[in-house]
Amino acid sequence: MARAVKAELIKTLGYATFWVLISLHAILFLLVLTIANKATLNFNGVESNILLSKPYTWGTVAWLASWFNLILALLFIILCGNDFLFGTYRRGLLDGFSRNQLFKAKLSLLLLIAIYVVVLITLIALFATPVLNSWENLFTGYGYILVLFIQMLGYFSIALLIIVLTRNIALTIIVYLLYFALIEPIIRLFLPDSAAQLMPVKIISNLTPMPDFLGIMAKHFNVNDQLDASTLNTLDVINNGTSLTQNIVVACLYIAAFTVLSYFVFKSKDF
Amino acid sequence: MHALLSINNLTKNYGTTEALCNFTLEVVEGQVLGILGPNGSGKTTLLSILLGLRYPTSGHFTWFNTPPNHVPTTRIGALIEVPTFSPYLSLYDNMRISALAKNISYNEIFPAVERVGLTPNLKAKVATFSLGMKQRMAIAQALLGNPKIIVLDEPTNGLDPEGIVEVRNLIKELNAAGTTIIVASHNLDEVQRTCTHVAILKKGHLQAFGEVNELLTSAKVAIVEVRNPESLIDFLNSNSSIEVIERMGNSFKLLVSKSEQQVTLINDFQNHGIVVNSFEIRNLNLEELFIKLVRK
Repeated sequence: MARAVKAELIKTLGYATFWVLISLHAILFLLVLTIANKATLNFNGVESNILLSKPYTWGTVAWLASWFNLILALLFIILCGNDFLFGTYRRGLLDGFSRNQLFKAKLSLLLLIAIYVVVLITLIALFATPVLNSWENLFTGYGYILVLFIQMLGYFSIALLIIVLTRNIALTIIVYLLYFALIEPIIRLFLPDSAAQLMPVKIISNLTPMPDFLGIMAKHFNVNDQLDASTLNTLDVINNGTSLTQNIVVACLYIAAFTVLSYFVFKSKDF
Repeated sequence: MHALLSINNLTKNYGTTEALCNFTLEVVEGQVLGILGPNGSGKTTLLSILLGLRYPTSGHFTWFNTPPNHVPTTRIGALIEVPTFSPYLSLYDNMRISALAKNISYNEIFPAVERVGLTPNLKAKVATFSLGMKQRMAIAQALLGNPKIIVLDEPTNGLDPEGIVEVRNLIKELNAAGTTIIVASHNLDEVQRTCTHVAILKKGHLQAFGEVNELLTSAKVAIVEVRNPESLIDFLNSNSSIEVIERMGNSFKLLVSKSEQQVTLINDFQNHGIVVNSFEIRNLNLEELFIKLVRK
């Protein structure tokens, strides 16, 4: 298994597109976080960059980082698709790797990319936000970053399933984008709200919700919490369909299901 | 001599298409087995199944009397269809990946690359290679780890005449050093020159298998030129033991039984009013055997 992962790393680290996309992701995230930190939009006396101060820092960082999950998903599709495109899965099998080893190596790559992103985001956030101004409560709300990690796995697992089914990079990207932007939203229209909230993209997207800016503002105005919640509810800012914990559990189930399904498709097909 | 590969009733269907049908064969240590067949005859399907790329619909096979998934990877080297590699990586990096799959030291890369003459290109990106160089690289990947058995599917594809001679010599050298080789090819002349045994496939069915010399002496070829071809055609139509392999005007290439004598045959022709201008009888070559079996 370690040998297959090592082979995977040789292929990935030697691929220029990998470095382009991974750098693009890091630069864009750094840029957005810096702009968000420097921007001083004032809402009735409350500065917008309060979202990047404790204890809201990690929630906001996770939300901002989630904007770029698509770049990572595309990168993962390309990395998986290359093995079908260049026939390197065939070569691996001929040289003696098993389908099991090849699949697990790709899963390891998926995990390594997600871990790298968590580390990168944490480091960038530490230096590009005021979070390091004091050590107190430094990692309060860091759980949001771990939820972002699960979200990335969610995006990757859907990509993995599509690429093992289609074995074609361009087709996978089209199906992937269509599913996110069109197919699932249309399906959700025909489902009861309780079921629509449990659809994969909905669940996975809801893992990193937009920071509750109005709620935070309300707290800074010392507004009654109940009033705050009801106002936000009226404004449809808070998603009351499912709780974050419920989302995490369902997302993990989806990730497991997509991964197992991908494994069986990968294992059963001819090369 | 013991069987390195035993195939029993191997069948592969793609939907309703039968790509391989009850294929049974044994490859013994030291053989150079040529697998011949027209396009779509099942050669690549057969090799792909044997090398774990495809699943058989039914039947089974063993390598070294061991189920395929238990065979140490260093014991079999293979090249199937076209060379496959990461084009953006160097030759060395591609070879490193193969070495990792075979669980062997990177040091073994150098003799394999040297053997196919690509040492000066070790650090070059494979994307810059010509078709022939890619083919050599794929052969180097197959040679990695000094396997006991090497499976090559069209190994001379894309090679220039010099490269073809090198591959032929390489096959002979490897075989002389004790490596068993299975080679699928369209190049009948190459197979006749390099193989000790041959298996001929047609539409997934094994048409013939045996030692090349035995198969080539199983029948004879008569080349006859006649003045009245219609009479010869009438005679052939009434004589099922003689087949026409080729006709060019008044000249016929006929497949006759190995016991057939020149004098007897000429007498038979004359008795049927056939005027023979010239007559020659000789052993079959592989191309004639192939045409005979594939036409059936």
